[in-house]
Amino acid sequence: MRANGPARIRRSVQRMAMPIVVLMAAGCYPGNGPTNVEDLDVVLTTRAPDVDFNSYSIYALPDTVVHIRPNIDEVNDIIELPRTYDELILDLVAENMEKVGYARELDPESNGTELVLLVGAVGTKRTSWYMGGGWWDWWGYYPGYPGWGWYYPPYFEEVTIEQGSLVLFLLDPGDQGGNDAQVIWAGAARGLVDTRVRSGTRITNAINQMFEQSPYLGSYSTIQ
Amino acid sequence: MKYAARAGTLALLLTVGASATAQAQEEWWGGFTYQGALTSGPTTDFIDQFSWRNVGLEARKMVREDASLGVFFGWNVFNDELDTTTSLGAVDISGFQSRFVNAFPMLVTAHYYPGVRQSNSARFFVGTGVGTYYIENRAELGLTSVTVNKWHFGIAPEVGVLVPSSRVGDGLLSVKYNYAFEAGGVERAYWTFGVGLLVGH
Repeated sequence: MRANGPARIRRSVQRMAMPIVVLMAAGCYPGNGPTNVEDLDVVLTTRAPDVDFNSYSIYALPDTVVHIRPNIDEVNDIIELPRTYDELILDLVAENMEKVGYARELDPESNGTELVLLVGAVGTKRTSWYMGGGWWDWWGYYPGYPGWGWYYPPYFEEVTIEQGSLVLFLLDPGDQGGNDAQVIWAGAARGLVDTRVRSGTRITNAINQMFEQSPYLGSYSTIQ
Repeated sequence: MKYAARAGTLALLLTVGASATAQAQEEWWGGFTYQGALTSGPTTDFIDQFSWRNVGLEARKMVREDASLGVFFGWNVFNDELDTTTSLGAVDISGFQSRFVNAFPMLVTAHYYPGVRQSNSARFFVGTGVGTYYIENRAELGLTSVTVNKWHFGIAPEVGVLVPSSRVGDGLLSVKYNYAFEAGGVERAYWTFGVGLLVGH
Protein backbone atom coordinates (compact mmCIF):
# COMPACT_ATOMS: atom_id res chain seq x y z
CA MET A 1 0.00 0.00 0.00
CA ARG A 2 1.43 3.37 -0.96
CA ALA A 3 2.12 5.58 2.04
CA ASN A 4 -0.23 8.50 2.52
CA GLY A 5 0.80 12.11 2.01
CA PRO A 6 1.52 13.16 5.60
CA ALA A 7 3.59 10.06 6.29
CA ARG A 8 5.58 10.64 3.10
CA ILE A 9 6.22 14.22 4.11
CA ARG A 10 7.28 13.16 7.58
CA ARG A 11 9.77 10.65 6.18
CA SER A 12 11.15 13.27 3.80
CA VAL A 13 11.72 15.67 6.66
CA GLN A 14 13.39 12.95 8.67
CA ARG A 15 15.71 12.03 5.83
CA MET A 16 16.69 15.64 5.15
CA ALA A 17 17.20 16.61 8.75
CA MET A 18 20.37 14.60 9.32
CA PRO A 19 22.44 15.86 6.38
CA ILE A 20 21.22 19.40 7.03
CA VAL A 21 22.51 19.29 10.59
CA VAL A 22 25.86 17.92 9.44
CA LEU A 23 26.19 20.65 6.84
CA MET A 24 25.29 23.27 9.38
CA ALA A 25 28.00 22.04 11.68
CA ALA A 26 30.54 22.13 8.86
CA GLY A 27 29.46 25.61 7.87
CA CYS A 28 29.95 26.87 11.36
CA TYR A 29 33.59 25.78 11.43
CA PRO A 30 35.49 28.27 13.51
CA GLY A 31 38.61 30.16 12.74
CA ASN A 32 38.55 33.89 12.38
CA GLY A 33 42.29 33.69 12.90
CA PRO A 34 44.60 36.68 12.62
CA THR A 35 42.99 39.70 11.03
CA ASN A 36 45.87 42.19 11.11
CA VAL A 37 49.50 42.03 10.09
CA GLU A 38 50.44 42.59 13.72
CA ASP A 39 48.61 39.39 14.67
CA LEU A 40 51.27 37.42 12.83
CA ASP A 41 54.15 38.88 14.86
CA VAL A 42 55.92 36.37 17.09
CA VAL A 43 58.43 37.04 19.86
CA LEU A 44 60.67 34.32 21.24
CA THR A 45 63.25 34.38 24.00
CA THR A 46 65.45 31.73 25.50
CA ARG A 47 68.20 31.59 28.08
CA ALA A 48 71.07 29.31 28.92
CA PRO A 49 70.46 27.05 31.90
CA ASP A 50 72.11 27.62 35.23
CA VAL A 51 73.13 31.21 34.55
CA ASP A 52 73.07 33.69 37.40
CA PHE A 53 72.09 36.93 35.69
CA ASN A 54 72.55 38.79 38.97
CA SER A 55 76.31 38.30 38.59
CA TYR A 56 76.34 40.61 35.56
CA SER A 57 75.87 44.35 35.57
CA ILE A 58 77.86 45.79 32.65
CA TYR A 59 77.31 45.27 28.95
CA ALA A 60 78.50 46.67 25.66
CA LEU A 61 76.26 47.38 22.70
CA PRO A 62 77.72 47.89 19.22
CA ASP A 63 76.39 50.96 17.41
CA THR A 64 75.34 48.95 14.36
CA VAL A 65 72.59 46.48 13.59
CA VAL A 66 74.13 43.64 11.61
CA HIS A 67 72.08 42.96 8.50
CA ILE A 68 72.45 39.59 6.85
CA ARG A 69 72.45 40.28 3.16
CA PRO A 70 71.87 37.91 0.29
CA ASN A 71 74.82 36.66 -1.67
CA ILE A 72 74.25 37.83 -5.22
CA ASP A 73 76.21 34.87 -6.51
CA GLU A 74 73.81 32.39 -4.98
CA VAL A 75 70.13 31.69 -5.33
CA ASN A 76 68.56 31.95 -1.90
CA ASP A 77 65.53 33.34 -0.17
CA ILE A 78 67.31 36.08 1.80
CA ILE A 79 66.31 39.64 1.07
CA GLU A 80 67.86 42.86 2.27
CA LEU A 81 65.92 44.81 4.84
CA PRO A 82 65.95 48.60 4.95
CA ARG A 83 67.97 50.30 7.68
CA THR A 84 65.19 52.75 8.41
CA TYR A 85 64.62 51.48 11.92
CA ASP A 86 68.20 50.63 12.97
CA GLU A 87 68.54 53.64 15.22
CA LEU A 88 65.15 53.00 16.81
CA ILE A 89 66.14 49.38 17.47
CA LEU A 90 69.42 50.27 19.16
CA ASP A 91 67.79 52.98 21.27
CA LEU A 92 65.06 50.61 22.43
CA VAL A 93 67.50 47.85 23.28
CA ALA A 94 69.65 50.26 25.31
CA GLU A 95 66.60 51.65 27.06
CA ASN A 96 65.38 48.21 28.05
CA MET A 97 68.80 47.07 29.26
CA GLU A 98 68.99 50.15 31.46
CA LYS A 99 65.56 49.43 32.89
CA VAL A 100 66.56 45.91 33.88
CA GLY A 101 69.55 47.26 35.69
CA TYR A 102 72.51 46.99 33.31
CA ALA A 103 75.05 49.75 32.80
CA ARG A 104 76.35 50.30 29.29
CA GLU A 105 80.10 50.33 28.76
CA LEU A 106 80.85 52.83 26.00
CA ASP A 107 84.53 51.94 25.62
CA PRO A 108 84.77 48.17 26.04
CA GLU A 109 88.08 47.93 24.19
CA SER A 110 89.77 50.01 26.87
CA ASN A 111 87.72 49.12 29.94
CA GLY A 112 86.52 45.64 29.14
CA THR A 113 82.97 44.43 29.64
CA GLU A 114 81.08 41.57 31.22
CA LEU A 115 78.55 41.10 28.43
CA VAL A 116 78.14 42.00 24.77
CA LEU A 117 74.72 42.47 23.24
CA LEU A 118 74.65 41.80 19.50
CA VAL A 119 71.72 42.88 17.33
CA GLY A 120 71.04 41.45 13.90
CA ALA A 121 68.34 41.48 11.25
CA VAL A 122 67.53 39.24 8.32
CA GLY A 123 64.75 39.14 5.79
CA THR A 124 63.41 36.16 3.88
CA LYS A 125 61.18 35.83 0.89
CA ARG A 126 59.17 32.76 0.09
CA THR A 127 57.21 32.21 -3.07
CA SER A 128 54.58 29.54 -3.51
CA TRP A 129 52.60 28.64 -6.61
CA TYR A 130 49.02 27.41 -6.71
CA MET A 131 47.09 26.14 -9.68
CA GLY A 132 43.54 27.25 -10.25
CA GLY A 133 41.02 26.80 -13.05
CA GLY A 134 40.01 23.51 -14.59
CA TRP A 135 36.41 22.43 -14.66
CA TRP A 136 34.04 24.79 -12.92
CA ASP A 137 31.95 22.04 -11.41
CA TRP A 138 34.79 19.47 -11.20
CA TRP A 139 32.69 16.74 -12.64
CA GLY A 140 35.40 15.64 -14.96
CA TYR A 141 38.48 16.61 -16.86
CA TYR A 142 37.54 15.62 -20.42
CA PRO A 143 37.78 18.66 -22.69
CA GLY A 144 35.51 19.02 -25.63
CA TYR A 145 32.56 17.07 -24.27
CA PRO A 146 29.34 19.07 -24.24
CA GLY A 147 27.32 19.22 -21.08
CA TRP A 148 30.25 18.85 -18.67
CA GLY A 149 30.09 22.40 -17.46
CA TRP A 150 32.28 25.37 -18.27
CA TYR A 151 35.97 24.69 -18.75
CA TYR A 152 38.58 27.27 -17.78
CA PRO A 153 42.19 26.76 -18.79
CA PRO A 154 44.36 26.25 -15.74
CA TYR A 155 46.13 29.29 -14.39
CA PHE A 156 48.81 29.71 -11.79
CA GLU A 157 48.75 32.03 -8.82
CA GLU A 158 51.84 33.28 -7.08
CA VAL A 159 51.87 34.04 -3.38
CA THR A 160 54.93 35.77 -1.99
CA ILE A 161 55.57 36.22 1.70
CA GLU A 162 58.33 38.48 2.97
CA GLN A 163 59.30 38.13 6.60
CA GLY A 164 61.70 40.11 8.70
CA SER A 165 63.48 38.78 11.77
CA LEU A 166 65.21 40.76 14.49
CA VAL A 167 67.59 38.82 16.72
CA LEU A 168 69.39 39.76 19.92
CA PHE A 169 72.23 37.76 21.44
CA LEU A 170 73.50 38.52 24.94
CA LEU A 171 76.97 37.09 25.00
CA ASP A 172 79.40 36.43 27.81
CA PRO A 173 82.71 36.85 25.97
CA GLY A 174 84.68 34.74 28.44
CA ASP A 175 88.39 35.44 28.45
CA GLN A 176 89.87 38.19 26.33
CA GLY A 177 90.76 35.74 23.60
CA GLY A 178 87.12 34.96 22.91
CA ASN A 179 87.37 31.43 24.24
CA ASP A 180 84.59 30.09 26.40
CA ALA A 181 82.24 32.66 24.90
CA GLN A 182 78.66 31.76 25.74
CA VAL A 183 75.30 33.10 24.65
CA ILE A 184 73.39 33.41 27.90
CA TRP A 185 70.22 34.93 26.49
CA ALA A 186 68.68 35.37 23.07
CA GLY A 187 65.61 37.13 21.78
CA ALA A 188 64.00 37.03 18.38
CA ALA A 189 61.05 38.74 16.78
CA ARG A 190 59.55 37.79 13.45
CA GLY A 191 56.81 39.26 11.36
CA LEU A 192 55.67 40.16 7.90
CA VAL A 193 57.55 42.89 6.12
CA ASP A 194 55.04 45.58 5.27
CA THR A 195 56.16 49.17 4.94
CA ARG A 196 52.57 50.37 4.81
CA VAL A 197 51.82 49.27 8.36
CA ARG A 198 53.08 50.71 11.63
CA SER A 199 56.45 49.00 11.45
CA GLY A 200 58.01 51.27 14.04
CA THR A 201 55.28 50.47 16.54
CA ARG A 202 55.53 46.77 15.81
CA ILE A 203 59.31 46.80 16.33
CA THR A 204 58.91 48.76 19.56
CA ASN A 205 56.31 46.33 20.88
CA ALA A 206 58.43 43.34 19.90
CA ILE A 207 61.60 44.55 21.65
CA ASN A 208 59.68 45.54 24.76
CA GLN A 209 58.00 42.14 24.78
CA MET A 210 61.39 40.39 24.63
CA PHE A 211 62.42 42.02 27.88
CA GLU A 212 58.98 41.84 29.48
CA GLN A 213 58.90 38.05 29.14
CA SER A 214 62.47 37.77 30.47
CA PRO A 215 62.19 39.08 34.04
CA TYR A 216 65.11 36.88 35.08
CA LEU A 217 67.46 39.29 33.30
CA GLY A 218 67.20 41.72 36.14
CA SER A 219 64.87 44.08 37.94
CA TYR A 220 62.51 44.75 34.99
CA SER A 221 59.95 47.49 35.17
CA THR A 222 57.21 48.05 32.64
CA ILE A 223 58.31 50.13 29.70
CA GLN A 224 56.04 53.16 29.20
CA MET B 1 24.75 -16.57 14.38
CA LYS B 2 23.68 -12.98 14.19
CA TYR B 3 22.42 -12.93 17.76
CA ALA B 4 25.57 -14.69 18.95
CA ALA B 5 27.72 -11.94 17.42
CA ARG B 6 25.63 -9.30 19.14
CA ALA B 7 25.85 -11.17 22.40
CA GLY B 8 29.64 -11.18 22.10
CA THR B 9 29.69 -7.43 21.61
CA LEU B 10 27.48 -6.89 24.63
CA ALA B 11 29.88 -8.86 26.79
CA LEU B 12 32.78 -6.69 25.68
CA LEU B 13 30.92 -3.49 26.41
CA LEU B 14 30.13 -4.70 29.99
CA THR B 15 26.89 -2.79 30.09
CA VAL B 16 23.93 -5.04 29.35
CA GLY B 17 23.09 -8.72 29.77
CA ALA B 18 24.59 -11.54 27.81
CA SER B 19 22.12 -12.93 25.33
CA ALA B 20 19.18 -11.79 23.32
CA THR B 21 16.08 -13.86 23.30
CA ALA B 22 14.66 -15.26 20.13
CA GLN B 23 11.50 -13.33 20.85
CA ALA B 24 13.31 -9.92 20.93
CA GLN B 25 11.16 -7.36 19.16
CA GLU B 26 12.75 -5.98 16.00
CA GLU B 27 12.98 -2.24 16.51
CA TRP B 28 15.57 0.24 15.43
CA TRP B 29 16.21 3.96 15.72
CA GLY B 30 18.37 6.27 13.71
CA GLY B 31 18.94 9.93 14.15
CA PHE B 32 21.14 12.86 14.92
CA THR B 33 21.97 15.01 17.87
CA TYR B 34 23.10 18.57 18.14
CA GLN B 35 25.50 18.90 21.02
CA GLY B 36 27.12 21.35 23.29
CA ALA B 37 30.54 20.20 24.42
CA LEU B 38 32.80 21.12 27.31
CA THR B 39 36.48 20.28 27.45
CA SER B 40 37.62 18.37 30.47
CA GLY B 41 40.69 16.92 32.09
CA PRO B 42 43.79 16.83 29.88
CA THR B 43 42.08 18.73 27.10
CA THR B 44 41.86 21.89 29.19
CA ASP B 45 45.64 22.20 29.09
CA PHE B 46 45.34 22.87 25.38
CA ILE B 47 41.85 24.34 25.05
CA ASP B 48 39.54 25.21 27.91
CA GLN B 49 36.24 26.00 26.23
CA PHE B 50 32.57 25.25 25.77
CA SER B 51 31.78 24.57 22.14
CA TRP B 52 28.52 24.84 20.21
CA ARG B 53 29.92 23.19 17.08
CA ASN B 54 29.13 19.54 17.55
CA VAL B 55 26.98 16.97 15.83
CA GLY B 56 26.31 13.28 16.25
CA LEU B 57 24.72 10.58 14.13
CA GLU B 58 23.65 7.31 15.64
CA ALA B 59 21.59 4.22 15.15
CA ARG B 60 20.30 1.76 17.71
CA LYS B 61 18.56 -1.57 17.47
CA MET B 62 16.71 -3.22 20.29
CA VAL B 63 18.11 -6.65 21.04
CA ARG B 64 15.92 -7.06 24.10
CA GLU B 65 12.99 -5.24 25.55
CA ASP B 66 15.43 -3.31 27.76
CA ALA B 67 18.64 -3.23 25.77
CA SER B 68 19.95 -1.99 22.47
CA LEU B 69 23.09 -2.08 20.40
CA GLY B 70 24.14 0.59 18.03
CA VAL B 71 26.74 2.78 16.43
CA PHE B 72 27.63 6.41 16.90
CA PHE B 73 29.56 8.84 14.73
CA GLY B 74 30.29 12.36 15.77
CA TRP B 75 32.20 15.53 15.00
CA ASN B 76 33.24 17.81 17.84
CA VAL B 77 35.06 21.08 17.24
CA PHE B 78 36.86 23.16 19.83
CA ASN B 79 38.84 26.28 19.16
CA ASP B 80 40.42 29.05 21.10
CA GLU B 81 42.38 32.18 20.31
CA LEU B 82 45.01 33.41 22.70
CA ASP B 83 47.34 36.37 22.81
CA THR B 84 49.66 35.26 25.53
CA THR B 85 53.12 33.98 26.35
CA THR B 86 53.67 30.25 26.30
CA SER B 87 56.65 28.63 27.98
CA LEU B 88 58.23 25.49 26.61
CA GLY B 89 61.12 24.66 28.86
CA ALA B 90 63.63 27.48 28.63
CA VAL B 91 61.86 29.04 25.63
CA ASP B 92 59.14 31.67 25.96
CA ILE B 93 57.00 32.48 22.92
CA SER B 94 54.53 35.35 22.54
CA GLY B 95 52.08 35.98 19.79
CA PHE B 96 48.56 35.49 18.55
CA GLN B 97 47.71 31.80 18.83
CA SER B 98 44.84 29.86 17.36
CA ARG B 99 44.23 26.40 18.71
CA PHE B 100 41.89 23.79 17.28
CA VAL B 101 40.72 20.34 18.26
CA ASN B 102 38.64 18.30 15.85
CA ALA B 103 37.44 15.04 17.34
CA PHE B 104 35.70 12.31 15.34
CA PRO B 105 34.31 9.57 17.61
CA MET B 106 33.39 6.28 15.94
CA LEU B 107 31.80 4.03 18.53
CA VAL B 108 29.87 0.87 19.00
CA THR B 109 27.23 1.53 21.61
CA ALA B 110 25.11 -0.42 24.04
CA HIS B 111 22.26 0.97 26.10
CA TYR B 112 20.09 -0.33 28.88
CA TYR B 113 16.54 0.92 29.44
CA PRO B 114 15.43 0.15 32.99
CA GLY B 115 11.81 -0.15 33.91
CA VAL B 116 8.77 -1.36 32.09
CA ARG B 117 8.29 0.04 28.65
CA GLN B 118 5.12 2.00 28.19
CA SER B 119 3.89 3.65 25.06
CA ASN B 120 3.99 7.44 24.95
CA SER B 121 6.09 7.70 28.08
CA ALA B 122 9.65 8.91 28.43
CA ARG B 123 12.24 6.20 28.70
CA PHE B 124 15.42 6.64 30.65
CA PHE B 125 18.59 4.90 29.42
CA VAL B 126 22.16 4.38 30.46
CA GLY B 127 24.91 2.99 28.33
CA THR B 128 28.32 3.35 26.87
CA GLY B 129 30.18 3.46 23.63
CA VAL B 130 33.51 1.89 22.82
CA GLY B 131 35.59 2.52 19.78
CA THR B 132 38.03 4.91 18.31
CA TYR B 133 38.51 8.66 18.22
CA TYR B 134 40.39 10.36 15.43
CA ILE B 135 41.53 13.67 16.84
CA GLU B 136 43.27 16.51 15.07
CA ASN B 137 45.11 19.01 17.23
CA ARG B 138 46.44 22.15 15.61
CA ALA B 139 48.20 25.19 17.02
CA GLU B 140 48.89 28.23 14.87
CA LEU B 141 51.35 30.94 15.83
CA GLY B 142 52.29 33.62 13.36
CA LEU B 143 52.85 31.93 10.04
CA THR B 144 53.64 28.60 11.64
CA SER B 145 51.25 25.84 12.49
CA VAL B 146 51.86 22.57 14.25
CA THR B 147 49.44 19.70 13.75
CA VAL B 148 49.28 16.48 15.71
CA ASN B 149 46.74 13.92 14.47
CA LYS B 150 46.19 10.72 16.42
CA TRP B 151 43.91 7.72 16.53
CA HIS B 152 42.82 6.96 20.09
CA PHE B 153 41.03 4.11 21.73
CA GLY B 154 38.12 5.62 23.59
CA ILE B 155 35.04 5.08 25.70
CA ALA B 156 31.94 7.19 26.15
CA PRO B 157 29.58 6.42 29.05
CA GLU B 158 26.22 8.06 28.60
CA VAL B 159 22.92 8.70 30.30
CA GLY B 160 19.83 10.12 28.76
CA VAL B 161 16.14 9.93 28.09
CA LEU B 162 14.00 9.24 25.07
CA VAL B 163 10.93 11.41 24.82
CA PRO B 164 8.31 9.95 22.51
CA SER B 165 6.64 12.22 20.01
CA SER B 166 3.83 11.36 17.67
CA ARG B 167 4.95 13.88 15.06
CA VAL B 168 8.39 13.66 13.51
CA GLY B 169 10.14 11.19 15.80
CA ASP B 170 11.35 10.66 19.34
CA GLY B 171 13.29 13.32 21.13
CA LEU B 172 16.63 12.45 22.67
CA LEU B 173 18.38 14.14 25.55
CA SER B 174 21.73 12.83 26.64
CA VAL B 175 24.89 13.57 28.58
CA LYS B 176 28.01 11.76 27.52
CA TYR B 177 31.58 11.75 28.77
CA ASN B 178 34.06 11.17 25.96
CA TYR B 179 37.45 9.88 26.91
CA ALA B 180 40.16 9.24 24.36
CA PHE B 181 43.04 7.31 25.85
CA GLU B 182 46.57 8.51 25.46
CA ALA B 183 48.14 8.06 22.05
CA GLY B 184 51.50 9.50 21.15
CA GLY B 185 51.53 11.59 24.30
CA VAL B 186 48.14 13.13 23.59
CA GLU B 187 45.10 12.45 25.77
CA ARG B 188 41.69 14.04 25.36
CA ALA B 189 38.44 14.17 27.29
CA TYR B 190 35.26 16.21 27.00
CA TRP B 191 31.60 16.23 27.90
CA THR B 192 28.79 16.44 25.36
CA PHE B 193 25.22 17.49 26.05
CA GLY B 194 23.01 16.35 23.23
CA VAL B 195 19.56 17.26 22.01
CA GLY B 196 18.41 15.15 19.14
CA LEU B 197 15.85 13.41 17.08
CA LEU B 198 15.53 9.69 16.59
CA VAL B 199 13.26 8.13 14.05
CA GLY B 200 12.65 4.49 13.82
CA HIS B 201 10.56 1.50 13.04
